[in-house]
Amino acid sequence: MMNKTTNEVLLQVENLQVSFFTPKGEVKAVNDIHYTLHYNEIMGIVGESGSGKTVEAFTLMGLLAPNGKIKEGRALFEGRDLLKFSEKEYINFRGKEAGIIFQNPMTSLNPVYTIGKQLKEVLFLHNKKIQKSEAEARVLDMLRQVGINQPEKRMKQYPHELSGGMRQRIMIAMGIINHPKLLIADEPTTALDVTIQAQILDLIRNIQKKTGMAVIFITHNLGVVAEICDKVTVMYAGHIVEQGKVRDVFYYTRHPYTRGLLESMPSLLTDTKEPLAMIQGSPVNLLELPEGCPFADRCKHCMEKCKRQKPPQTQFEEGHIAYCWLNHR
Amino acid sequence: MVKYIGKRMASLIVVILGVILIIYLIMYLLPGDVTQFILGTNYTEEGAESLRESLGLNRPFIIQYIHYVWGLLHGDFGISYVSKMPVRVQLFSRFPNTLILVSCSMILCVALSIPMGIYSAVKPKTFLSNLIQGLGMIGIALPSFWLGLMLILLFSVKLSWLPSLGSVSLKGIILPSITLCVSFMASTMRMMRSSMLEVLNQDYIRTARAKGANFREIIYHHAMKNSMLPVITMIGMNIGSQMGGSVLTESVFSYPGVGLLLMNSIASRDTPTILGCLVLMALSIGICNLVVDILMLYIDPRLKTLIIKGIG
Amino acid sequence: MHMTKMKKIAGILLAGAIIPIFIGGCNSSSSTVDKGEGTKDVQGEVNTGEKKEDIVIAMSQSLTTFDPIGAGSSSLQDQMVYRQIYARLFATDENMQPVQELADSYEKVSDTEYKFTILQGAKFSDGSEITAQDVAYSLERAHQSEAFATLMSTVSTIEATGDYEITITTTGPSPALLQALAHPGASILPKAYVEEAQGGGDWNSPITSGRYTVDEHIVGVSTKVVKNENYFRPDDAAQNNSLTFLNVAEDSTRTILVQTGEADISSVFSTADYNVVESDEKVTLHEKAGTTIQYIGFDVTQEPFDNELVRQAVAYGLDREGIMSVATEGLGQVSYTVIPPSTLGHLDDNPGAYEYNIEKAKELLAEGGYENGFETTIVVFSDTGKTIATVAQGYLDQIGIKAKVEQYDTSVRMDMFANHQCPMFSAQWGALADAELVLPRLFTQGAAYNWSHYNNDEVNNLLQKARETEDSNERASIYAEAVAIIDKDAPWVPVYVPNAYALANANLQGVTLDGEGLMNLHALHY
Repeated sequence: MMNKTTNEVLLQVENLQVSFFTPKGEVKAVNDIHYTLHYNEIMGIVGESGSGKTVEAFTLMGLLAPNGKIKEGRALFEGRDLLKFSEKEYINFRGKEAGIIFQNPMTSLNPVYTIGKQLKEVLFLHNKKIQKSEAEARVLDMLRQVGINQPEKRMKQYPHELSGGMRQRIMIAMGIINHPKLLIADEPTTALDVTIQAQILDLIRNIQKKTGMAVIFITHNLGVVAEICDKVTVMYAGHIVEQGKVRDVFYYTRHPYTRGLLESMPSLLTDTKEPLAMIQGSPVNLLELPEGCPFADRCKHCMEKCKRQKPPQTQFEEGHIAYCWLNHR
Repeated sequence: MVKYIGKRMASLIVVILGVILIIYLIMYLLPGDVTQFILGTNYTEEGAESLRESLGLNRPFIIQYIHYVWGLLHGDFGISYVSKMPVRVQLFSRFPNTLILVSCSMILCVALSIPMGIYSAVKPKTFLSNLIQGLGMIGIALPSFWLGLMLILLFSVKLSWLPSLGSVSLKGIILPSITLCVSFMASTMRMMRSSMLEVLNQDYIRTARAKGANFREIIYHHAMKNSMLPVITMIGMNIGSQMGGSVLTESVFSYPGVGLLLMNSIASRDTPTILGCLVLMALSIGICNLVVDILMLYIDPRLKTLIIKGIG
Repeated sequence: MHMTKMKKIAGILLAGAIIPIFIGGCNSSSSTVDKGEGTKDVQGEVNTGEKKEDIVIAMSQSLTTFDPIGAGSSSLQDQMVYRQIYARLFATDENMQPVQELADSYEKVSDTEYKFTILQGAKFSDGSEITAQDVAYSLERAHQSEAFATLMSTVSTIEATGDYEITITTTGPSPALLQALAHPGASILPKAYVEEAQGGGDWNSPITSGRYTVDEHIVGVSTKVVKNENYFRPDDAAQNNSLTFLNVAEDSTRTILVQTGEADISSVFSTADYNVVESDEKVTLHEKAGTTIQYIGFDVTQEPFDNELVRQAVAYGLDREGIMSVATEGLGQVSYTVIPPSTLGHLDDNPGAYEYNIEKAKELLAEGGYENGFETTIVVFSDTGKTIATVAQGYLDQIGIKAKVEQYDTSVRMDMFANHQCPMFSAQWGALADAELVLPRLFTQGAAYNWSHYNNDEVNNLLQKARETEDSNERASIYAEAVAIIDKDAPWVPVYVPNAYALANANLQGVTLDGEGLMNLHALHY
């Protein structure tokens, strides 16, 4: 199970391109995404709405909408290319080797079945021979692990009888009960209030420490990234703009967008009389991506070159990369 | 739970009393009465008057109403003006027939429309799916009377496979059931389809996929129970409509049910029989709805919580 | 595992549906008359080749009651059944003339006294003998009933004056007495039985004396009667084993039943199905000149119809052939006189000399002071009436009369006429053979069916005169005179007499029709 060290690669994503074909045209949601994820590593994917981060995650899990197409790329999970999986292979894969938890816990649980039943289901789906009693025990144990008290009572309850925070804990429990190697968390705390947020983050961190599974943590909140991620990928308009260890990206920022995000985060030291710093302009239209740098319109430092040509990748310290003409002067 | 049922039964009784009052009032206020039907060509004013006296039609309205309700509480549905027999006899011999007809029709309806609805939701672009939807639209538009006659012409006259006279027998109930269920089948199927489509778009279905459930498990386990909820409610309502709508079907097939009895007794102004039919119909519709609601409580756990909290 | 709960629910639903079937199967029994056969499946199977002894007759209404003077006394369908199971002093032949049934002989002692002797040894279905007591009781009961009062209006006393003799006294000459005694309302029932049945309100095990006994009666559905082996006129017994009267409300369904063989004969036929059956070789359509007059009437107490010129104008302005062709596909005979050919006193020629003549109609209108026409309303109470009125509307328009057609439910008919709410109306009248039973009820002041509120002293005198003689030729000419006056006065514009029809299996023999419909059902056989 979790005896791999951090140095071994679990997931290698290369050159991933995903588009949606709509009546209005081709929406290029994901453009040339690549990263390497090691066992036992937590990576954050950061970006605003429409940056393609969720689409990327769904693609890995085979949950892409019917009008979406993988145009290019590979995603090697322990050497096997996920993108070439058949539905049958995915059915075995999901919930067992990789788990995913979603953004809105209020609607992500089936309202007509008990918590216990839904949790047991994940076990039964992937462990054909498991006994009822054993399943029951494991579920109870899992509920305790995710911090739900009175698990026997909760097992018999229905989702509508639990709060949002509790429901998210259940989702986490469902995601990890089969000890997957990878957990994808798609904005798991966005729909929850701040105090619960902190609890959920703690939970994920603790579980990760205990089980050693890799986590991809998708969020738009840099604060969260700072708290628990080892490394981070910053996305804009479906492109990677910067990627690297959290320390490097935060303290040695090499892209105007990343800088803009960092500056726009309010802190306890921000002067409340001043307007919040924000990145001017509005998100790019994915139907009509520009020829050059996708961030050109909104960049303070935009040059002529930026509009005409896509900036190449520049490498900095280990694993820290950025795509910006500013780094090529 | 018991309290809930008790409350519902009580309100049902109030509704029925109201129905009786309204119908009684209508019959009372309408011009013309049963004497014309009974006396026919031998009608004379004196004859009609004395007949009215003997039937108690000249008593004040309230007296007639109270007399009727009092009798009803004792299980006495009164005496038919026309046949002079206790209404109960005819009612109870014909009511089961209508129940049987409606049951058969509902079974047909459910057995066909649910699979068809699910299929057209799950495989939307196929030829079969479009065919089903087209049939659905036609089904709603078809007048049951016409359909009944067409079926008779085809299966009885041309093919001689089935009898044209409806009856409580295996062969005799097929055509009336089909006729009765067609329009309801169409609407149930559409409801099933749209309900299923809506459910399939829900987040928890995505969660189910994320857990590694296969297609079969998703449709029949995760989606089914949720999508059935509005369908069951609709089926409950349909049973009520069919109880009333059986009049047309029973008419075409001369099926000996309560609908036909109601029609005949309206034509002859036989108030006790009319009321008997309506009371039974109202009761059965009310009980049906109650049963469906209770069923819902067991299927949808969210409702139970509401009831227990006293909101329902 | 997840399926078991669904299966449980499905199972409950299914059981909930099957249980009524079983309950229904046990409880949905016929009413109390069930002599062992007890099957609900009353359709005859389609027989091929085998000689069928059980005849199935499709009716448009179900039997309302077995009490001959109950609600069914006015229903032709009920009467059809009564004629098979009950005996009367007299029956009627196909010209609607009385023939002896239970009466062995009779004597008119005087203008006000009649003696009847009944057959000895005639038995009821319970084995008891039919005595004069029973006859007198049954007839007196009919006499007292509201339904029968008009038919026996001249009768004053009915007494059993011997074991097998009954004497009836009247207030004056009663030429129509025999006809009244032939009416199914005058059926003979055992006194003891009737008293019991009346007390308990249960008429469902009738004790009969006719050619058939009641075998099974499913209320609202069907009635089956089987041949009475002990009928008191064995040489005139039934030629089939049983008759099943099936209630089929829908016209087209009835026709279809005969076509498929599920019924052998249909007693009421809708002319709309004429084309369908004409080309079908498996069925035969039997036809007879009818005895119902379809007419358009006027309220002669209201303007402008108080003016006979106006009424006569309408009589000239309507094309009776045209109306008939629409209303009954032309299946009937037009009529220019107020009684049909089958009734005593009918005139073959046309005393009013009416015909379809628009010019004459306009002339008469102008003469009456309405050369610019007028507006009026035609009130109807049935779909046929509506059709007739609508076609007539067109013709009236041509002579300047703008008529609206309004349809009301039959139940308000009597009230509306009594309140003079029908200036013009379309209606029908089913005539009996004896004019005595027809003319006074229609054309004398105060009679319930005198919807025109017509009154003519000359006619009244003639009708009274006709009552005073028994000679049918004399009566015929008196009635003819009365009819001539009525035709000229034109309180009615008669339009047509529709034919009577019965649709039967092509191989069925013995089908007889009288003016009112099927009769002599005992003669039906293959």
